[in-house]
Amino acid sequence: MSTLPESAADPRGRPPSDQLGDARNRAHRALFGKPAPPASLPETDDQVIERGSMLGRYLVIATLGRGGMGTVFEAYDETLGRVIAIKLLHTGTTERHAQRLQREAKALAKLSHPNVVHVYEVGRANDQWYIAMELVPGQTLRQWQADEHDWRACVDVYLQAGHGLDAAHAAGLVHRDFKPDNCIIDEAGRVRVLDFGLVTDTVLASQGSDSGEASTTLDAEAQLPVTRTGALLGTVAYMPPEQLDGRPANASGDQFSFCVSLYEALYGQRPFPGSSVATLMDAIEAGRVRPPPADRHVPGTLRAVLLRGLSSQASQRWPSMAALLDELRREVTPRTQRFVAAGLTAGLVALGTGVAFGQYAQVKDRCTGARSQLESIWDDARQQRVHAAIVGTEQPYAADTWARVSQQLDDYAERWAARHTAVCEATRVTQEQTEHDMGLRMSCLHDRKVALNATVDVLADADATVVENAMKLVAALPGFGRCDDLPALRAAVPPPEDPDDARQVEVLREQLAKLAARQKAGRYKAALQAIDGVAEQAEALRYEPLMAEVKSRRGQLLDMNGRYAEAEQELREGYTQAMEHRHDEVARDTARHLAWVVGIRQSRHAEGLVWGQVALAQALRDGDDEHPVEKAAVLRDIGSVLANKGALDDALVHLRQALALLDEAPGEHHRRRGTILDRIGIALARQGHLADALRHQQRALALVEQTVGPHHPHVANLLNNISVVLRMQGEHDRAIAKQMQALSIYENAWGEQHPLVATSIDNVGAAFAQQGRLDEARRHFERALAIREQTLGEQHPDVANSLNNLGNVTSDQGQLEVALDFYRRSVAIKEQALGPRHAGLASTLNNMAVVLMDTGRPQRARVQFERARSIWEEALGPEHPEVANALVGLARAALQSADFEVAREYAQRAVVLRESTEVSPAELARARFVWAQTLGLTTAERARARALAMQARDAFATQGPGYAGDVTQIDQWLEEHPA
Amino acid sequence: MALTLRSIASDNGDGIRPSAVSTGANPVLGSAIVNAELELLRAWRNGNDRAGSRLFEFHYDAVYRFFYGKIEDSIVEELAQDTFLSIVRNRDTLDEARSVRAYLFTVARNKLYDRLRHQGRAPRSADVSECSLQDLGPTPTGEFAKRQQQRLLLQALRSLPLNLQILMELRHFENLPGPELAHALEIPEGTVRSRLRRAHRMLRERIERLALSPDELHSTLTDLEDWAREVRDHAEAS
Repeated sequence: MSTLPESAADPRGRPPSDQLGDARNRAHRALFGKPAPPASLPETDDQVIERGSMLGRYLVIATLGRGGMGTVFEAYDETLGRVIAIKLLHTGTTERHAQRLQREAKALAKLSHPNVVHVYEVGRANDQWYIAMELVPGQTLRQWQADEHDWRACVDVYLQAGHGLDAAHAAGLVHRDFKPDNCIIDEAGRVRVLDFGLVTDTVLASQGSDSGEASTTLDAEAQLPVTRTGALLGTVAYMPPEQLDGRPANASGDQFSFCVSLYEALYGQRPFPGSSVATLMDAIEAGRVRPPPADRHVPGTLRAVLLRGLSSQASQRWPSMAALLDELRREVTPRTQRFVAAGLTAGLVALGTGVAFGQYAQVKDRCTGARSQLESIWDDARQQRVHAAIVGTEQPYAADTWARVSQQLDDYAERWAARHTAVCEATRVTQEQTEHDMGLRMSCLHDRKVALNATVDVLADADATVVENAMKLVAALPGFGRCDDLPALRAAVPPPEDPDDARQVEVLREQLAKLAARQKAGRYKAALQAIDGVAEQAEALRYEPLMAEVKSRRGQLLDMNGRYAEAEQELREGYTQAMEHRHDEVARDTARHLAWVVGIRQSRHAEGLVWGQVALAQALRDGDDEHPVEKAAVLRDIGSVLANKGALDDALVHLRQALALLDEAPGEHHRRRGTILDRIGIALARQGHLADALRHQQRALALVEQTVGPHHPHVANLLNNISVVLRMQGEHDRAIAKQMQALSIYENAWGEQHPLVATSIDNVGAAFAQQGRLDEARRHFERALAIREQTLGEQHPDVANSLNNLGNVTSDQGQLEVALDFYRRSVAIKEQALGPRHAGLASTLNNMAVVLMDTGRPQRARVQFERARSIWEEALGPEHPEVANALVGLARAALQSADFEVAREYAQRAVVLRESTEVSPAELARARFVWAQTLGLTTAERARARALAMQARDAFATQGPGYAGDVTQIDQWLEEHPA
Repeated sequence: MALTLRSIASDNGDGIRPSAVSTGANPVLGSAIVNAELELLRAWRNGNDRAGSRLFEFHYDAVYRFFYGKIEDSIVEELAQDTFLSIVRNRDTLDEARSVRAYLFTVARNKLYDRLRHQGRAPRSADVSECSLQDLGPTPTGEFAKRQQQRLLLQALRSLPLNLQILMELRHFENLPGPELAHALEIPEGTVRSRLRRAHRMLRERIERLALSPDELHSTLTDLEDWAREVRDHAEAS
């Protein structure tokens, strides 16, 4: 709060408030015909607050719900620009209660814990207290547990809530009203506790004497009783006896309420019978807990843990929430956690050499070392290092990423340990599998352990790029399904027979796994440099399956570094070797990358598609548990190749099929779905269905944003593409706004020297250019060029794109020779990097031709237009809207040479093409005006020509200052060609 | 002019590689920011004058404050009202991608520049935005803070080029976040950041120059952020 005395003048020299108020009223009257209403609406007892009214500084958007304590609104915090939830307390709230509320809210506001709803502020407006807090979409645990969940799921969920309580206790806060209704679980499964300290002891104490209310019958649903002023607050069914008795509640009381809630979740009924406060008290004091229902399977040990928390005497409960949580955790992770202390046995070596069968108990012990094998791979120390590294990058989403990544790695480690133990016991204890099979499965698990180790290595050394890719990296850990697929394991490539060689292969595979992790983390250059050493050693071993793996990886890295032809060569060799040795997984991945490198990078679409089909066949054959996801990935890539080819309908079929597969696959796959939706949007945009495209992209954005948060570069990619479509729609301002948003995300994440920052800057420039803000556009293009030359090298196709854009903008600035020079440089790079028939080349040829026209060289222009047209028609098909660009050019060139017949034919085709698709109004206008100019001298044709020209003129006029020249030109033409 | 600027940006460098398996939805706050202003604007367009009136109330004071002290008191009200008139006239064509607030400040800034130019206070050739209020003098009659420390800051602020003064005020007094500043001032966000840095640096230099004693300098500089917070608290308290 202000340290200024009330009388002090405003530190900023602000206007006196009455002066401002009068001015405000006068202005309001001038604008709206009546004086401004009072700043906030008068409040009524029944809390009818209209959408749009103000509560303090918050703007009410909607009512979310009404409860015993008050009404909850969704509101907008204007100062901080965020949507929040506001709980407006009933008017009856006493001053004393309010004071404590405020005190506690301040403490709560300082408490930032993933399992506690964040409280921003407690305030007062119109004599009513309100609490502003984090808005969490999701369901209450009461709603959640209405569906049946197995006991582990229940404990997991309540463990989270328990952590929230524990954190609050540590901060000296007591909840006093913990129950399933006060916990919210979001879609990601994260639980948050809310409404801390809303209940006052005082109010409860007075309830004791209010016999009428105190004997309130417990409603069957136990949601009630709630409360009018002076009556019982909170829900008695969850209250500890001391609180029912009117004594102050403490942390131990929260423990009791917690246990009632979890008990209810597990058994579908609350522990103590009782239909009134009095009978309930009786049951609690007598320790009369209902017998467990026969249809619920809950371990007896778990029940015992809860019953202790339900003791009527606080001193007999668990000493703290933390102690209770420890016990609960032990229940859900019995083998791994419980035996860690005893698990000093080193665990089995991966390729289990024969161990004599001992007695059952001893053998069982042998199978308990799984967890300890993960020591130094994913243990506390490593967790701390990864945490420090990730958070240390100070990325805006780093904390969020850490939470998710650590969760995933925990899960992976747990699953690994569980598989390991199960595989071990299957041989050693239940003797249902042979030693040999166990060896195969252990070896498979060993690979996963190696992958986990490599991943954690990269994360422990995380920089911004790694953090950005961390989720991808973790999600790419191999699944466990394959380790159960004995036929596949038996068919797998055997290691070299020489044990020294076999060991050496293992070492090199570990190095490859690390390189793969680096690649996924975006460190392309470093990874490519490092792989050469691995390749040399692999070569020396003469073990071809490993060579295939090395080549496949090296091919991918070459691709990332923009060396497409070399990448293709390497991948082809890798594929052949993998097939020769029946190295199936490697063959499949290699084929898929070939589809990309050949079909998209090098625009040899038909060939790329064949590789896509090969990969698809292999994905279908594969029995991996990631099968539908893998298949979806292949379909998506085939769709992408088809889209690049211009076979947009086919592309859409494949992309939608991929989407459908993910819908059926277990798990959420939001990011994958987002990527596919974005690709669908791009394909639709190319078809000219811009509005539809935008809808898909918005959905993609929502999904991805939901998964990775709003500051993640993946979100920026989508914003970038949305911006491009907006630009195609002629929505320049919005396009620039989105692009700026994307750019600032990229820059925050990577700094300024990153190829994607350049792409984003390039697109900002493009939007400026279309608005006619040429100087700004040029500055952006030049910056993009500099970044690209720096980061990608001077011969990279993206550099050529920057040069192309500079050509465009300099020609618009009237510097035609400069423009031609840019185009020539661009064409040279593209011919070299992409080949002479690449669609990407055609656009620059076309642009160059336009400028050649403007410099009065129609013949040379015609040659380039013709070249562009033929490339486009071949690459994209004759009906593709791009073709119209060349047609318009050809028409203009023919006009220039007074070749009217030819010109008319070209122009007409261009107009028809552009009318049949949803292109930007300016492009259609341009085609129409050219057509108008080709029309002849008859009266009828002349009228038609004028009509077309006027249509074009009007369209240009609405497109902003960038098209002023076009408007003038048409006006002039209309003057010269009167009706 | 045939524009075939590179239209679709490539995917994230590794485009086709499988992206991560999601861990499920996360309700990150802010991702779902419903722009309440937008709601109001739409309601207003649909004929709900109360919504318009709410928008007005949201922003009137800030716009008034914007002009206050930069120009003669007698025309502050007129300019503020004019600014709102433009939103009334343009409510149906306002760009939804920008915030109403950013739009208002854009208009307000232009009106201020126009007026200063019109009054002949800036040389015709000069860019008003590069002049400081001090250059443009005479000092308007805004009531100054009594406390020396604040006076210093105000004086220093007024000695900045007008565009930087406005930037600092919108950032620290009105709390506009980066993207909105970019919209309001019609400059890229990166420029907002670099200009803010420049403004902070210049402000510091000016204060150093104006301060009478090292103590005063120290207390004035300790620090701008605190001071901005104080200004806000003061505004909220009043």
